[in-house]
Amino acid sequence: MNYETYAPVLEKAKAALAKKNIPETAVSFCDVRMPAWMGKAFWFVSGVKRKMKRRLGK
Amino acid sequence: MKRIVQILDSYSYGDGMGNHAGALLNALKARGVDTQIYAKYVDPRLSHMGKNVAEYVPSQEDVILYHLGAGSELNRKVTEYPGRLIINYHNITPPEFFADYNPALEANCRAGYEDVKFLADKVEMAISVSAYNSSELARMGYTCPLHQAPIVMDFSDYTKAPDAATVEKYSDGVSNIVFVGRICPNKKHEDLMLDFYYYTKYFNPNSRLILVGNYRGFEGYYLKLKKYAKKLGLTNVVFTGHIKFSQILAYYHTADLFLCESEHEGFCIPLVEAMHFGVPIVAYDSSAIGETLGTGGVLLREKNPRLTASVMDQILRDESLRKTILEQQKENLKRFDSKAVADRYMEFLLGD
Repeated sequence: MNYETYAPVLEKAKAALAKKNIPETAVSFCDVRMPAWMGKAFWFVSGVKRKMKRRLGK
Repeated sequence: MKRIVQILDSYSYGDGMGNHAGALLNALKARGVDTQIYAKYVDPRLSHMGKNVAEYVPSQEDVILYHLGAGSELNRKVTEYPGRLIINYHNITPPEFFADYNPALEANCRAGYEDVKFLADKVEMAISVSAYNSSELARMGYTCPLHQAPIVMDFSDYTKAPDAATVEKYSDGVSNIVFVGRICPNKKHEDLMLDFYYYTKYFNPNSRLILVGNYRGFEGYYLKLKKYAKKLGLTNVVFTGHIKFSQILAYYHTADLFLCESEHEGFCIPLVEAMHFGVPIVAYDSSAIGETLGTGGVLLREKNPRLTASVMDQILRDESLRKTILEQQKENLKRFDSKAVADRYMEFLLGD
């Protein structure tokens, strides 16, 4: 039902896109590297901050 | 009259399942039903509405509505109570989404799925918050009556005043593309960022992407997203982190478009919220998103970021198209009328 309702919107969007000829970016999320320890360290620091705030009643 | 007891793992403040249980409690009380909420954890701010499950005195006369949406020791414990057991299935996020970022939650969800299977022949009825969830139960061997009723939403909460400072800050003529939801891998924030990259670079540089949501438990994913934004050269992406309810309201008030690329939702409350606040929606068709959206918003069959950006541009530039979408969204919103939904729950819970 939704697809039929908005089919003309998609057609217009496709036509507008064709005119622009937009290149695909080479940047991919899969290529973003993040050492596992960074997430853990961030989690630890956020936890300490949360506890401090709670203790200070903020 | 029968007593309706709602049991859930955590009765948390501001949480979708908790809000649903609370709204249902109020609706049942307003109809004169004897009812109570019990949970393993009750947020102190909700102590006037819920009690610790250790205080529950089971009775054969009780109708137990058990809210199931994660792994919990209660998932099996509830079968020991003598009352009629009905589950309200909110869905569990497939554990694979969490493998790289939160092994504890991955294990919890895996256990949760095992518990759902365990309960298949032990419940009298299952009420799912979407047809998608019902079909999942059927696939997992449920042969009991499977009903559907959406989340009971208390829309009066949304009439509260939005945070004035946030409204002022983001009412600056820049187009605000908003998504509301926990920063977590199944919500696919990276896909939102890629859509936005094409939109802001090739269609409308005077725009920003606002990602409203807590990243607790997914700090690694959040840091990776920030790095991704940098690599894409995006300087106009806002991560709000955990914020007050009045600030969430402010983001809805200032939003020009709600964009959703989530790949797993058992219902998706923010879609209904966006409809309520008159924000046009563009969403990728996965899990329960299509059925919650109905005709109220543009549903996309495929993940094609350049096409999504072009659709966003159509909506934000074409006043009459935006008006049509908002009218459809308003019509669709009627399906979530809290009184009508609460009546459906009453029918299921008190029917013989």
